[in-house]
Amino acid sequence: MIEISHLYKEYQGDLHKIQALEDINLTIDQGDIFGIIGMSGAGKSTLIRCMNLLEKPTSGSMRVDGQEMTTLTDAQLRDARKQIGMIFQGFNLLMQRTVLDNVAFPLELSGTPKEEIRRRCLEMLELVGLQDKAGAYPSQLSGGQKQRVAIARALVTHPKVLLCDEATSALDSLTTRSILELLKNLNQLLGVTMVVITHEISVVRNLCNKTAVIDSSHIVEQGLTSEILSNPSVDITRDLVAFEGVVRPC
Amino acid sequence: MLNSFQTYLPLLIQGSLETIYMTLASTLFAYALGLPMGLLVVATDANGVLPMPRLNRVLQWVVNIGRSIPFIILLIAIIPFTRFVVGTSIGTNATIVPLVIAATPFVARLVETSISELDKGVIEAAQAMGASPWQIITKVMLPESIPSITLGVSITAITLVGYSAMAGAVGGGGLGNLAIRYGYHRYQTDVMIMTIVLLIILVQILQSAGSLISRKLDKRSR
Ligand SMILES: Nc1ncnc2c1ncn2[C@@H]1O[C@H](COP(=O)(O)OP(=O)(O)OP(=O)(O)O)[C@@H](O)[C@H]1O
Ligand SMILES: [Mg+2]
Repeated sequence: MIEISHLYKEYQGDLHKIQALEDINLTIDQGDIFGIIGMSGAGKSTLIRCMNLLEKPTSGSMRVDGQEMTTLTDAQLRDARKQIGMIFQGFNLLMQRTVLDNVAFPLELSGTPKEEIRRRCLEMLELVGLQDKAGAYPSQLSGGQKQRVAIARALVTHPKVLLCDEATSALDSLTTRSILELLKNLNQLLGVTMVVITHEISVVRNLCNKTAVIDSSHIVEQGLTSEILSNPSVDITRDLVAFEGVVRPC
Repeated sequence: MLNSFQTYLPLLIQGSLETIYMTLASTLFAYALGLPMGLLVVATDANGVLPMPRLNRVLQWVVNIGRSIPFIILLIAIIPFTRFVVGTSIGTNATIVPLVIAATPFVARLVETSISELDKGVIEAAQAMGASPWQIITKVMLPESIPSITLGVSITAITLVGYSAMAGAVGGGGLGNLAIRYGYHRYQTDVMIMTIVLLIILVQILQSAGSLISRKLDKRSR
């Protein structure tokens, strides 16, 4: 579903260039919940933002659903993005719109008829367990509820891929668990491929079937989550696993 | 004072109405021009939704020039233009022309500020959903910054009350003209004080109305 090869991204810093991604090669299959874990500054956000071209890679190939993303025109890119949902650490909801109208937003963009928008949004809100909040505004919701709205908004267009950038990092551990549960169910139910960026090993442990570890701009190991966690081959993964035991005794 | 108040009541009412008329009309026109201009400044920024660095530089330049000319100078400098547009350079209608020209860059800057206060993440989310630059402007930037833009409208109107009073000095009509004609030229301090009181009341009303409407519109505060 997502094929990345020889992907590089460099930022022009004030004094010198910053290599945020170096020679990234990854294959994410249809239906995967693919975790990408690493320390702060490793390049996780840069990598996931390259997947929908919020960041333009410096070189290399990024194919999503068979389509090369790096060579699309603006209009083609907009169409391609409609097949890729995204959720964020800060939720990024429209604060002046109701929950229902937030979920409606991506459908409005593609000119879906009003009746259909309403039907699909209510359906989606039911899936995330917020049917009774349709008329509320984001400021009236808890963090977990806001992320549920964001998930509904990202999936209402039935995208093939859902990108999650630290989607649970602003939430407490109980709420995190319920959001992870929801994402897992939606992956089963809708068959949507998920890419999950996190710095918490418990997130990949509880959610992802496959995992890649990223460290200072490089992918240092990847494979089935179970194998990586039980038999880490690099120090950074061992550190992350050990760190989990210290901070989150669960 | 009470006596003179009754004597000058018709004049004061007329002056107030003229001031209100000039303020509202010029606020309206200034937004008709300044709102699109402000949006264009935001959109064409290097990090904007429709990056056009050259156009952006020109717009920034125009806005800065407009903002740096003192109103009283502008008022006199554009008299030929005013005459060309309205046919005369005195009276309330003629005053609206320099008011609009002075306020438009001011409005553009206020609109730009309101929109740049928005959380960048929301705009990014819209981009990630495949929104076009136009859709981002009309469906995200504008509606999300409405409460802040509303406050800007009242700030603009208040500024224009002050400017219109200045324009009164050169035959612009309104309360400013009244204050100059009676209070200054005829040494009638009571008229002067009454116009000042009326101006203060007007400004207070504009300020409170702006805050109230902004608060009512803002869905973040409930
Ligand atoms: N717009 C930018 N301009 C310059 N440098 C950037 C930019 N965005 C990211 N970087 C740099 O690229 C590197 C990777 O950043 P990135 O945001 O991808 O890290 P991250 O793994 O997501 O970290 P975190 O867990 O803190 O979110 C960092 O060194 C960062 O300073
Ligand atoms: Mg990040």
